[in-house]
Amino acid sequence: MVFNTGAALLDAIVLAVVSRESQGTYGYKITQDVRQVLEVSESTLYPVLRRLQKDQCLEVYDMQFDGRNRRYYKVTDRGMAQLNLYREEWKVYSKKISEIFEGGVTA
Amino acid sequence: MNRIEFMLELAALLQDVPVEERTDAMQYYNDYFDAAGEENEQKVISELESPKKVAEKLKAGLDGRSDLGGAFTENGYQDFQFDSRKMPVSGEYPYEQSRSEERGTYENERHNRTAKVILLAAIILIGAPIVIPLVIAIIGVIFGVVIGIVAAVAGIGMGTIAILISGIFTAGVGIVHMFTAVGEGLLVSGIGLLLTAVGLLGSMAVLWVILKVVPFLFQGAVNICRKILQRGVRR
Repeated sequence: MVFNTGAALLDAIVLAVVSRESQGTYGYKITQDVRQVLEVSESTLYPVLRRLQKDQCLEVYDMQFDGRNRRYYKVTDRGMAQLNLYREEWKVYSKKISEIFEGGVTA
Repeated sequence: MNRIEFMLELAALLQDVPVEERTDAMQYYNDYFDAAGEENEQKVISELESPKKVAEKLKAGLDGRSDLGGAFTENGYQDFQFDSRKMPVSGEYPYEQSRSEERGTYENERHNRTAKVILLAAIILIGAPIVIPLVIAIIGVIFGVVIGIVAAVAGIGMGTIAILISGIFTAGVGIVHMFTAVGEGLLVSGIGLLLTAVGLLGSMAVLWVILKVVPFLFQGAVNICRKILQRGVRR
């Protein structure tokens, strides 16, 4: 991809991915889902998840799966509010960019 | 590199981050390998690139820098982005309840983990001065016994060969003497032949011991050592 993905955009994408699962989802799945739309290295996601957790946008809980504990991430109310802000911002931002791109003279 | 090597190296690289961050990250990547499944182990390792890379990103995240790789390192753009992140949600938001719930489970986990760490540290600190010399001593004793047996076998072997040689020599001398003194000559060559027979029998017995018993003993000793070392490592 030629465009950079900033921290805020990555936060927004991760929050959106996690918010799709009402029961929460786990690290491996989050990574696979994000990687479907974005070229990020697998090692990038953990720091993002950890930061969102510290910012109380995500909460974690452990649940048994296949006899092992698996850590699940879930979007908090605060996280949802943050995600909605991102959605609005993105709408405005992407609209402006699109207008500039499409409004120019095309060769 | 396999999963275990990866995790061990990562743990070593994260020695300088707070314990809480380290255990959290270790658990995350352990979960990650579990979720990916054994068949994807190599794929995960190659996509994570290296423990060094994972550790670097993690530390960058802790420092508040967001290092998203090559594409992102241009012209200080990242700082601007990071600072300008809008956080509309302030303290009065009604998440207080869920937060305290979360804190409850979190606290429990932390206690659990702390206890485990302390236990592990205690085992290493108290156990090591006893266990390590003990293991070395046991291995030493086993090697001593093996070397003793080998030396004894070698000694007996030399002895029987010496008897064999002296028997042949005596028989030869007896045969020479038969021409001058028939009786003495017969006696001496008789003794010589007897010694030769004893020597031959003895050397064959020793040869058998060397070929059959010694490899068996070595195998046994090696097995015992391996068991001790494995148990030591597992602990």
